Amino acid sequence: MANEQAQTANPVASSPAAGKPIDPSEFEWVGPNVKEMETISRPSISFWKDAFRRLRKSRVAIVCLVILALLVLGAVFLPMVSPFDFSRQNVAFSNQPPMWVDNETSQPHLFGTDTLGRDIWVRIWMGARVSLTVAVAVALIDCLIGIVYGGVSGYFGGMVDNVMMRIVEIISGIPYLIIVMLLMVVLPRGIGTIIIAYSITGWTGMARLVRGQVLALRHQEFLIAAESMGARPARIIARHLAPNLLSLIVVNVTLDIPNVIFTEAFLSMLGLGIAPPQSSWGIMANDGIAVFQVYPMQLVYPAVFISITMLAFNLLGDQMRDAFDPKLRR
Amino acid sequence: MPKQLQYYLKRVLYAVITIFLLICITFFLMHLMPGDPFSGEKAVPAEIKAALYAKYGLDQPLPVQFFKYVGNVLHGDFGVSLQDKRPVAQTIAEAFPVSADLGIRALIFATIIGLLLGVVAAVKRGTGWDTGTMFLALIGVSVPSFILGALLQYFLGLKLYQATGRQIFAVMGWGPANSKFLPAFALAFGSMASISRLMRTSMLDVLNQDYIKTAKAKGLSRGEIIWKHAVRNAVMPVVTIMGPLVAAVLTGTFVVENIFAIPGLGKIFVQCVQNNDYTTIVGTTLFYGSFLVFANLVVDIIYGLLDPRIKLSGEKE
Repeated sequence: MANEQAQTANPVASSPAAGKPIDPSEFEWVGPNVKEMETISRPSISFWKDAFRRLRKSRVAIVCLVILALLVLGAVFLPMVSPFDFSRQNVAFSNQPPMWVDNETSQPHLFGTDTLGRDIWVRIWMGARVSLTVAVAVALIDCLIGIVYGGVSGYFGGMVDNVMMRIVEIISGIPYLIIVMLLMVVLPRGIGTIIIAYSITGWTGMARLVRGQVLALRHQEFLIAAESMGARPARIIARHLAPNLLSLIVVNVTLDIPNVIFTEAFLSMLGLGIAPPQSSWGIMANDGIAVFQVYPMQLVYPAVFISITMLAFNLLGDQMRDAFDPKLRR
Repeated sequence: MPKQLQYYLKRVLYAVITIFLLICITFFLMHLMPGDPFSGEKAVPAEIKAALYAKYGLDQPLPVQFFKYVGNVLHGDFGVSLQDKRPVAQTIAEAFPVSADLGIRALIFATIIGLLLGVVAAVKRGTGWDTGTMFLALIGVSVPSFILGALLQYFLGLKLYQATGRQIFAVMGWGPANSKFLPAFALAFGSMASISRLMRTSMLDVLNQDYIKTAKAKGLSRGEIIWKHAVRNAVMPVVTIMGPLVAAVLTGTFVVENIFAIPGLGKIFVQCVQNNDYTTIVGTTLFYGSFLVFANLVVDIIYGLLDPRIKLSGEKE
């Protein structure tokens, strides 16, 4: 193909050369067009654009995002528009099947009612509020402490790093659930307490990750440049290191959230988490287990919601890890 | 001093510090707790209260109490339960073997099945086996053990009994052989899932190595390559997560023992937390903490023995 072209092109190119000598005046020196040289012919794709482009291609990630968006919207709006109150008890209505219409409001209870006659549908969405609030709050706090701690430790290195990492090692040597349960005994029950209790132990993983990444970035040229221009450590950590850590952090926050949701459900199930009459998936699971053999659906609803939420976060985290790190893609 | 010994000594030192820290945390948390151990009882005359305080050493200054407490703990004396007035150490000694039995069953189950699934998924990569195993693993990390336990109880314990008329799996309790399968499975499932995922990644990594090609070129059979060359090397990362796995199984017993009404330490821990039985809470917490720290230490040392490369990187860190 290329050969053919060369052959056909050749006579055309050589014919004027054979006829008469080339007149230099026919040619014009256009000079280097600086502007044209500098224009970028294609739109530049930043790291984030590239990552999102890859994430969009993954059907799994889109499904997870849609599920999570629906959960958030449902948690925010559904309790408002429901005709039932999540904590209103009515023993006459207890243990009704799904779609049961009560004679008081003549509205259907989509998921039926529980042992105390409370509407399960509303309680599920109130529980979603609790679970998602706790999950997001804890993830953000862990993230913040982890970045600062890990950043300082990795950035300064040496003795500081040694001492700080030994502290992390010792803290993470104690299983977090034990510490969380102990704190739940001492502190008053509620959402705030769960957030505090989990955050106290939860940040160590993030701190380790951030520290490792900072150590790897520490001697890159752009950091030396920033340093030589007199940037202070706080600025370097915040402006130069943090953006490079972001993908790692986002992925790990996403993968951390299911653990928080599990912990909340677990604590509430043991009667240590959210205090009744507040609703939470863990409390509902606990109530459901009590009557499971007779009314299995009362466990199935919270179980399905807990599992789907955890599944969605887990899958999304996996997909994000693949999208952010081209090297890891298979 | 040889580097190896230095490394182990360092690990032991950290373990001791961790346990000491745990003692401090539990002791001071106990004193932060609202009320005092005798406020719940009927109105007690002041003299009797003073006598009780003196008996339990609560009239002494806090530092003295602390050192006394540490001394007692080092002698294995965790005090007396506020609920049933039995020594906490005795309760632990009775309940722990039950939990250990359950936990070891779960760990063995999780390791063997998890490794097998991981190997199969990696070898049959991209096929239905792979997808199926990874789906199972995903379910395993997303369905909490308390839900799985309840579901197993309902379908395999209750429904299967109603369908066949034979109690193949007991619904509750601990003792006869048919009562041990369901709780162990519920406890093991999450760990099994994470082991199989890790094993799959690690196997895929190893299968791409040059020495596997060499083995293939030498004409070794598929089975020999997989079991003699690949699995042995791929299993190393799995050993590193054995410490966290022990912790996960242990905290899993809190839930599983409650659902299946198994008289183990997990059930006792949850009970005493719910009843504000402070001495038992502190005693079991210390026991759990020390046990886990010890387990982690053992895993670290085993790993160091299995893979000499780890020690070098550990020292550089």
